[in-house]
Amino acid sequence: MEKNCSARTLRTLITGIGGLVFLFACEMAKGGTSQAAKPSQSPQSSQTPPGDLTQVSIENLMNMEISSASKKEQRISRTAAAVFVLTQEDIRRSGMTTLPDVLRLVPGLEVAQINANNWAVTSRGFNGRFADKLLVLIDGRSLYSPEFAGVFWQVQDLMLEDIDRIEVICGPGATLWGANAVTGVVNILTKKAKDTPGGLFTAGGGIQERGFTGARYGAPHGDKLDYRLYGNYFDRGEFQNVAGRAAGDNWDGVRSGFRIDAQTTSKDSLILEGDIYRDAANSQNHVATFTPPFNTTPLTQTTSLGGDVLGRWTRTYSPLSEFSLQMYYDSLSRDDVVVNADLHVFDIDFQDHLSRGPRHDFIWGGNYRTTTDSVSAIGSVSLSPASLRTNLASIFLQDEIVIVPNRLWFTPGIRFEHSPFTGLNVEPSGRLLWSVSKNQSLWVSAAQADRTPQRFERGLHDITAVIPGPGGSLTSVDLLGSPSAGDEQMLDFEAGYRAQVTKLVSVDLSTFYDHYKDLQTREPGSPFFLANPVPHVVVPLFYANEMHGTGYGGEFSIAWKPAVFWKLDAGYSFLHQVFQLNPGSQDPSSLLSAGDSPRNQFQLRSQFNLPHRTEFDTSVFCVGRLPDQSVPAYTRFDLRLGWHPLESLDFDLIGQNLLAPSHLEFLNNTGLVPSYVTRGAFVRLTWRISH
Amino acid sequence: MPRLPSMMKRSTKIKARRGSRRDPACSLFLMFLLVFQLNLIANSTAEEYSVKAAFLFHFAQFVEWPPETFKDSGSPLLYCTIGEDPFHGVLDASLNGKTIGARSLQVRHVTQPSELQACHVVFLAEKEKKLFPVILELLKGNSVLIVGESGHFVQEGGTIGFCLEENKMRFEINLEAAQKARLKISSRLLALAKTVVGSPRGI
Repeated sequence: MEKNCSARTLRTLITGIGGLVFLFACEMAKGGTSQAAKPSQSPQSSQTPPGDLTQVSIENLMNMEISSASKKEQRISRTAAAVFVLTQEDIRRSGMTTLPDVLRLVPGLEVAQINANNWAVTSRGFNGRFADKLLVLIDGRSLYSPEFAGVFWQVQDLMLEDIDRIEVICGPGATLWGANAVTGVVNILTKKAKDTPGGLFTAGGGIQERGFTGARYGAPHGDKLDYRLYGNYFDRGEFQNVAGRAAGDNWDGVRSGFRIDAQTTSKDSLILEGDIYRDAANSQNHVATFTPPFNTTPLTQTTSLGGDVLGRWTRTYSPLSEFSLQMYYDSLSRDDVVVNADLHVFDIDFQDHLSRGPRHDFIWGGNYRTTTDSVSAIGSVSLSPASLRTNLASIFLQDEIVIVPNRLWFTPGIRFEHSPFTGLNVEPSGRLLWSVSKNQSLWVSAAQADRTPQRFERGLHDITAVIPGPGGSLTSVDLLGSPSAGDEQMLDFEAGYRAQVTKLVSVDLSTFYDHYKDLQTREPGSPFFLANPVPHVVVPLFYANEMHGTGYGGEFSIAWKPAVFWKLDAGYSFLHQVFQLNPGSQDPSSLLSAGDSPRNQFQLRSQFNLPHRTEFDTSVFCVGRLPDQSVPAYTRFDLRLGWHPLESLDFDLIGQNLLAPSHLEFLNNTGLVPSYVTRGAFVRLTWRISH
Repeated sequence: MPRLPSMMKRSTKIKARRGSRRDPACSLFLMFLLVFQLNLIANSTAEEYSVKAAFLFHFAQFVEWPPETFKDSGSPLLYCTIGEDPFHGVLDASLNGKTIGARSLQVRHVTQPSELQACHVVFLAEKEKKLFPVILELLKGNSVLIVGESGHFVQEGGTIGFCLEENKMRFEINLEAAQKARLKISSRLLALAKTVVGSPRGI
């Protein structure tokens, strides 16, 4: 309910959803009463209740969590953390086309688009292009960059139709997921190959989404193995620059991949999956040079070429105990105007889940990751040394203890992690869940999570600006890595409540109080003289950890199914953070940027099934202003009209950002020139060919 | 990539537009939605029944009826519920247009137990549990797959009973009841059942 939820929003909404909904609702109410207890041979053609699950295999039905009004899986009701789950249905009906945009649907996540192909995504503050306290994984593969921290959202253009669900935890998840899962964890899980048999073809285009296409084919091979292959391509249009003209930041990408699921024995299952992709994205970046005009913002192309392959073996000993071993290799070569960076990650991970007696449910595991990178400076950014291999190792143990059966659980856990630059991190957590009744639970938790320094904090040399002085002398402001850059730490206390109020309404509330210490700052050092590439004086800023602070806030979500054909989701989040520099620190800029998040965010989504196999979905996102960046509050309004004339065919008409011709979401601080997000509208065709 | 000091970050001057003034729009809108939809709640259903409907669809694929229960090889397979439709239309919608082999699927919501004799699959909702003994007696000797959701449904003579286990849908099978009704249940379905009672081998 930020300031920007304007009268215009109201008008659009009421005339849009309201009118249609009301008419249809009256109709349904009439039909509903006359239908009662009367023998009826044929289904009501005017009604297409959601959730035809007959195409789901019986085995998968058995794995499905039974929910009522809430789309959330019921096992969430046993998790003592702020968890939110997005389903494939939520994703499909949102009309969103990129992974970061899909995350807007999660209350508490802060998603801001910087330009057409860059996003800033975080949870509970500290946003930025390289927001470094949110850990994101796809099927257990970490997307967190060990070179620059954060996620390159640009290259995460997987086929959204392949996603089974996205589980998001706001708050620390370091005990289970490791360092850098400080303020949140996003876990993207793709569908099993068994669940994607047959062919799928999508294509569409319009304004902003200039053209996209995707194809998938899945089939069983024998009775123990299923596979799928996919390929997709997109071409997205440009946003507007500050002058209201085309910003030139259009981009395109192509991606292909596979997933194989095999049940080798009754106890063993294997997963093998991989992707290969290439993206070319245009953007304007600040570049500092020692020749006039010194500081420019050229429009250049960033190309990314990457691939990954992941294998996982799971052995199930009993319904309550299993062992899994996972390995992946991930490679990304990214060339932009200032730096060419190559990255190779090899990761091996095992987890053992076992119940001991009626009271203990242990999960423990270990992880080893080796990262090799090489960075060649072509512009003003370099890393020292230019190539480095680092290793990370960790072990963790968590036990879910039943204190009172079916009532009270206590889950202590701890992780020991040896990070490449700062050595041992200890990340403990304790969570207590009280199941007040069958339908409601209360939880509290305390946890510590660390963000460990990545490559750039130790070895960066970034010439951020060159200032010409009298007599041809040159001074540059350089951001430098420092051997003393250390861990950032957060101590987190949370409490939450969730309830299935009726069969049709569920609510989830989480609140937190955080204490941060040793937060990253950039401290000025004594100027020095450098002879290369031209003689100049360097005013250095060194990475340090000279800030601390506190924060509190909460997330609230409510899911409501007013009728069989209608689902509503609303979410609200609040965040307030206060930071202070340690005595001796001389970096006021970090003080401002660290706390620069919207205080209030609100969203309302409606999924409505209309007669004649049509769906009408709308969503509103109200995002508060960013005070330090002077980015005003904005309201995003999206609309989707879906029609599926045949079981195998869907047509969608999608409008995005419909309220204003353009708006700004983020002014970043990483050398990228931001653009104004513009309206988009496109059509999408989805054709399923059954196997 | 790396962070620029924030002193540099406004080198591109972006005109900040003022957000419009606070407006009670959002709350009004929510209230609007709340008020006019309240009367519809009674007609709603939970997704639990979408899952049960899908199970009913699959059960029929794993069960073989004696040929004489059908008029001919193309006659439809008939699903029945008794009393108020516990699926609130989801079963009809889920089975609409589906076939099993050459048979189309039909759904009938009946009011009298005697009307169940023509059915192939009968679903007995928890709410109509009191009719269970009557229905059992009435359908004795008929090849009807009797599916229910009340506790101890299979122990009391039902063929398949749904149960929830940690919020996941499970089912139990009474093999003896199936055999008496001359229904052949595939071993794959038996393997998936949580428990099989009345098994000759005492599994």
